[in-house]
Amino acid sequence: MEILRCENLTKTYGEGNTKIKALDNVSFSVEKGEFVSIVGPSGSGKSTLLHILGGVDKPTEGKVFIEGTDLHGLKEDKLAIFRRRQIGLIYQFYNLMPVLNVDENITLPHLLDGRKLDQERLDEIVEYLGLSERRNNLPSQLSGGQQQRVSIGRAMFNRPAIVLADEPTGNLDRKTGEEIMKLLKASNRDHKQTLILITHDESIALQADRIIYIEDGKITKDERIRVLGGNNND
Amino acid sequence: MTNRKIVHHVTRQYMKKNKKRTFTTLFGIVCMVMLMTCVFVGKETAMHYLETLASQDKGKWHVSAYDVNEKQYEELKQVEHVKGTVISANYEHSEFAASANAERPFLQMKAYDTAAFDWMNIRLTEGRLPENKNEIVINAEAVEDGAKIKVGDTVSVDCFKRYIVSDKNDGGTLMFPYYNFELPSGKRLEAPQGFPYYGESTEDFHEEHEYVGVKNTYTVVGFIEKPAFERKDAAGYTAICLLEEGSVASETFNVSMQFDLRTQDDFVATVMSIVDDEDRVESNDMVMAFSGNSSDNTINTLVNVMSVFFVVLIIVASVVLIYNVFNMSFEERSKYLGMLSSVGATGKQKRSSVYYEAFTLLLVALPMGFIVGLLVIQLGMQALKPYIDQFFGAFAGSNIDRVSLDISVSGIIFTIVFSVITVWISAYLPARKIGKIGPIECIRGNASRSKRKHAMNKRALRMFGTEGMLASNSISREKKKTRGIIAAVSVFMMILIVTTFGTVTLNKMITYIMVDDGTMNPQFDYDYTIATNWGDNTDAQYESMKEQLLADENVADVKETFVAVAGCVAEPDVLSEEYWSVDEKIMDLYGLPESEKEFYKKKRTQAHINFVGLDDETFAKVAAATGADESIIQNASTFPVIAVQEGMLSTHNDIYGDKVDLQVFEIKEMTSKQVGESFDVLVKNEKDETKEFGNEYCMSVTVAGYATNEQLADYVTFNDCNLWVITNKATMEKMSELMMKGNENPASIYKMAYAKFENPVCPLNDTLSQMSMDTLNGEADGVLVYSKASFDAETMASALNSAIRVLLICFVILTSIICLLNLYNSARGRIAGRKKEYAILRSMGMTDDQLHKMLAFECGSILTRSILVAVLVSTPVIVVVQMTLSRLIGAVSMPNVWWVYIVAILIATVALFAITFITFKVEKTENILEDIRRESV
Repeated sequence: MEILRCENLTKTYGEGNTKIKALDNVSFSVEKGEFVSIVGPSGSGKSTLLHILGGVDKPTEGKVFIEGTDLHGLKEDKLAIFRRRQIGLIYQFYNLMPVLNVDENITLPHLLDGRKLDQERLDEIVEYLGLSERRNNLPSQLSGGQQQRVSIGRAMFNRPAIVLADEPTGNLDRKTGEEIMKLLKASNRDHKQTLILITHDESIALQADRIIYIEDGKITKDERIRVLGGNNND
Repeated sequence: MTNRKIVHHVTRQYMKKNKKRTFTTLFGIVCMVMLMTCVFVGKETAMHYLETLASQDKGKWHVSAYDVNEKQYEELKQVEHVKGTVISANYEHSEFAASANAERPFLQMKAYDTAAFDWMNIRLTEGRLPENKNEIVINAEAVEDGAKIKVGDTVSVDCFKRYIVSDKNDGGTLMFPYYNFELPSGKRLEAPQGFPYYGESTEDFHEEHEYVGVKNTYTVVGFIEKPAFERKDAAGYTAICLLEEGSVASETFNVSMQFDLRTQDDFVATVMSIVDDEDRVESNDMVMAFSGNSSDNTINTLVNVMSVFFVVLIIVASVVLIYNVFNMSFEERSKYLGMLSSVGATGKQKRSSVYYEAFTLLLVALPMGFIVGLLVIQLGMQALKPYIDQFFGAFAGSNIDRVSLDISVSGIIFTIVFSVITVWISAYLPARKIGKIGPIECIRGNASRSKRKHAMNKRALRMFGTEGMLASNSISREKKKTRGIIAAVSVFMMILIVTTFGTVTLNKMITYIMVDDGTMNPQFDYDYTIATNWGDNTDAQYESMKEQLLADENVADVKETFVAVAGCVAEPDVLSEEYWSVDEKIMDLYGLPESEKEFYKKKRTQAHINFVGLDDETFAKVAAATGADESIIQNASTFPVIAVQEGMLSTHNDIYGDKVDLQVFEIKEMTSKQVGESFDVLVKNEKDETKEFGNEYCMSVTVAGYATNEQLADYVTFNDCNLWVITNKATMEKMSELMMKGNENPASIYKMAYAKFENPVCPLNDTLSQMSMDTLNGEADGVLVYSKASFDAETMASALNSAIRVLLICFVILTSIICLLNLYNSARGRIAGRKKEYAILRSMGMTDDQLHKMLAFECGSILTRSILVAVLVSTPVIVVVQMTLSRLIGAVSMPNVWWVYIVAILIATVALFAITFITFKVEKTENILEDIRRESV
């Protein structure tokens, strides 16, 4: 079942001689539960693509549909609400709220939605992420790996339609990076969580079901390396 | 390059990099220097201008001694701190053959030394001033009145004293109330200065001249404007010749002196001790008061207290601003200083970075702030000049075109010293903090991080939702960052509270200090007052003018009062025990022994009562407003009165021996007479010198109720040591009847009609305006007319109060600039520093409405904490000020200031919310990514 579709996405910056095309007529779709890696060299447009898919950036042309909703056809407030319900974002530099502790950061999108705190779900996620001992810590009191786990917890908490991760291990050492990837894959496998991940680390990209290669804003290769629903354990 | 030079070099680079921050700090310091300049130079300029204005009346001298002989003059010149002396002599009058005005047939001859012409504000209209003892200048009005005289003519004078001789032998007294002159029948008295010429003789008296031996022929070298001391109806035109050293034609002469008033010595007492006659010494109180010196120490203290008050508030506001800026840049500064520290920079060198930045900025700001300060003073004084001139109604129309700056060396030094102190205090704490942090903490940027853990804030979540929880966390978990903005808001509120309180208190104090004697202050909205004595020969004119006012369509309202001051007495028990116990307390302050106290107490056989009668309509309103007993009010035959219970006694009402410093005691219950109780009032009657209660000049009045100034705020208020009662016209009619019974003198009751114009552009207004000027200049012929402006300016208290109010309003406006700059800087810094957080929240799906709600919660929380701080700090300050002032001026209850808190909180609320939301709107970028990628601000 198709969960995401983008059509003819184009993103340009600047004007005249300084005009740069970050994305050039990009189209593809993603099935529910699929784990897709987007790879490409620096400046190829992969982060731009991810942010447009996440609704935090707007395409110059083209459309993005998530579960049939035209993302950029929504007004600002509707888009914000859609984002907190349907999209989980994981950044390379975690982007946690410095004044919120682990529990508060994880539940942030849920609470912003005006819903009652789901303590059971919170306990489950915190346990799952191995942060039980750190629940009352502020981000500044956590290591990089722990911060990224909080970031994953925040992205997962609302059970979004899709999780978008922008180089989630890029700021971590190898061992911690591997732990984070295990968590992401487990989430994809155990909860059928659709996952789109940007990386320029080939070993990480190869852990996905499908790899999209991007260069100069264009998809140069879209390769399925595993059958959806197949065994993608290490 | 030495290590310190490297630190300074890097600091300079960061100052250049952070232009906005550097500019804000510079702007703050410029504002601070500007304010210091305004305090030190502005105070001198303003006081000098007020002094100059005040000197328009009597002249530039501080103390004058009259009829001084050579020996006394030599002693006066030797008095310590004398800045200068001028001498003048009064040669009395001389015939003025050239006069064309039959009512002014004389010259009023005076002799001035060269400097005295300037000191006495003698201004030429034509020609030049006398250069030798045979030259003379004459009041130009003589020529305007038709005198046939011109520059170059000669005038022969033979001076004489004027005597008025009564031609009656009926035992009566001729009254000249406007000249403060009474002539008993059959007597011959010297005419006072400025006494008019009524012809050689009238039915009642004739004039005699006694030659004093001053004879000369003078050449007229110029004409002058009418000097301020000359009355328009005086018998002679002023003529002044030059008084050369050793050429005084009379045995005695007058000496006017200027002193170095900063020394605060009691010069008046010194001069009195030399002249040995109190009546021959005059102090120019207005000029002295505005020079920060007065015979009363309380006023000197007030002027000094005000200066300290200003400087402390400026320092507090500036320190918080500059400290906040340094604190906001703490993390960035700690990073680069950490780098320098890792290559060997010591704590002292790190501290020097903060001091270097602060004092470099001060160096630039000092000349800028000083120049801006001078401009502000110049512009401010020029803009305020018309109002100040108006406050000094009597001097309006003076020849002072512009206010000149008074820049003294002490003013400049004080500005520099206090600016340096302020900057040093501001930089001290950030410098100390930065000096203590190690290089690794600095580079990692965790120098200020707390290790405290925080449980989920479920309480805030439950009470205020997610936005409330986010706001609460950002306030309580980022205490250091929040502290700056809380300090900014609280200081802003504190400045408003303390300054407004200060203004209200100072005004009240000055009213007590300067107007410690009885006054009745009409609170009606009126433009003019017409006044006369009941039964006076101008009474008919008054009644006719009142009728005219009532009939004129341009007049909106006319109210009438009948005031009897010091015309009535009652038995002492009419006054309360509270009153008499304060009276005794004052005797104690004078250190009177028991025997003397008993002596004075026994003399208290009468209590003075002042009456104010109101027209029937107004009296009914006052009765209703005070809740007076209606049955008594309605029964006119009981002569109902409403007693004003508020009063005051001061150490200057009755003076026992050497005058002690002013202490004022408020009295809450002036009379102990109960409602319904009657008491006898003995009215003053010229025929009856042996007064006893119960005689035919007594009338019984009945207490119908009590009143406070607050209840009377729309009618009349009182500030007096005597009991005031309010009554109706019928009571006053009865009183006037008794006062005039069996004699021809008018009653001691002033009839006053207050007129409010609906349309001031009308002939009647013009007439009253002209008449009010005549009254002011002592030229009124008949009914006296006062304009509200001139009436308000009558007392030094109202003039001083007005000046203080203007000064404090300017101060609040200027200090508010620093406070608002601080508030803006803190709020902007807080928003700018959290742009990334806002972007994260938006990327997590927070809507704009939710962001606004969160900001509103944050503002609310900051405001609550700031109010707490402001109230906790301001209240003790106010209490201390109250206690100090109470010790200084007595048991005066200070004004109720709760409204000041409300106003300050409202202004701070509006400012905080407006600055936060406007800054948020300005700083907000549409592109979330741009803010998310922001590494640091």
